[in-house]
Amino acid sequence: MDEISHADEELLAHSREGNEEAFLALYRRHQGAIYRFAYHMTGSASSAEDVTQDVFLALIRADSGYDPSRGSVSGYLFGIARKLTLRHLNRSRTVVELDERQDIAVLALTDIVNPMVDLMRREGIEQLRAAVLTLPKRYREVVVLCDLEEMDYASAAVALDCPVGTIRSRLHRARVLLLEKLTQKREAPSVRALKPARSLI
Amino acid sequence: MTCHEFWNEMPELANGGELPGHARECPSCAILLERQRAVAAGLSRISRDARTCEAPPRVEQRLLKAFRLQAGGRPERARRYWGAWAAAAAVVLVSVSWIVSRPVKPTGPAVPIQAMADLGDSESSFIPLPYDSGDFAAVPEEDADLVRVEVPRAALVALGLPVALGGSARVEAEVALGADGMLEGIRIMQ
Repeated sequence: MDEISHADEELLAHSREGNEEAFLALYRRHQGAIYRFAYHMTGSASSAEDVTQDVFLALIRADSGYDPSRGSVSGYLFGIARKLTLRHLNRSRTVVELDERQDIAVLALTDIVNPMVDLMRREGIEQLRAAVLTLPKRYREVVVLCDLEEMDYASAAVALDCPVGTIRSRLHRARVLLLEKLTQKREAPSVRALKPARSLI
Repeated sequence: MTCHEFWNEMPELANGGELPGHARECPSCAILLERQRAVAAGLSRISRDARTCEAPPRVEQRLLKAFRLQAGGRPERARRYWGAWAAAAAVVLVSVSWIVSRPVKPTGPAVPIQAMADLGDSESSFIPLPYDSGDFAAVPEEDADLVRVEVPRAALVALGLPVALGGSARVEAEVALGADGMLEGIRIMQ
């Protein structure tokens, strides 16, 4: 067990004994990652705020539940955050669609095929961000944890309660899906964008 | 390496580094890999942009409030309450057991302990009266002036003397008179 995990365990233990400083230290250490996870999953700042609050409220109220043999405190917190986020998503059934006008604006600027160059543009990043939100939840959470939060596969496996191999395969599949979504969105409006040019010839 | 084997090594290969051998030989895999790397790079950019993104300070304030409320009912404080309750319960138990087990005092004047001890000895024993000189026991029965009387049972009870309840209203007794003519003892004949 690394030092950070050990320190987290101590903070959690002291926090459960009523030590306010320990609780605050634990909160400040993890709240950012939990908030970002919820934000990337839901696309909503207010939902992310609610989830973050509820994760630590659950920590305050839970007498036990954390098992050091199953993983780090961080993984445990993400596990709670994941359940709360999924519950939140199921309740609100938020559907985020890619903005068609954004696609057209991008294509008006460039007709490049190279996605590397395209994704480095601001608009391309926004498209990718929106595409992440349209991924099925099981793929979205892997992308958010491993790619956006840069969590290692083992920790992600603990947080998502599945084998490491599943994390790997889902991550691969998620990237393929993202690529397909970006390509589809590019191809559809490109026809419309090219029409006026053809009519001039 | 086949295309299938190549893609089984994902997603690590998409994270960058030198183009693997199969991708150099297979143009379609190379293009797909390049696009996957573009996606990975875009995600990395999103990750960097959001790195400073945090929960607003009001969340911490709310949690702190909840923590303090919760901590108020935690073991240390609970232990203090348990201690107080245990002490109170002990006081109540001791009080109740003392009240239950204490001897019932007679409502009449106090009778000397020795006299009370003598009550059951025999019918012929004299019971010293509270105002006697203290040397009643030394007075031989034969030297005392004995007067046989009938005393109301209620009067004996009022004096705290052991008289069986019921029966006639009057009890036959003998009283011993001292040299000064004062009543010193009584013997209930029954």
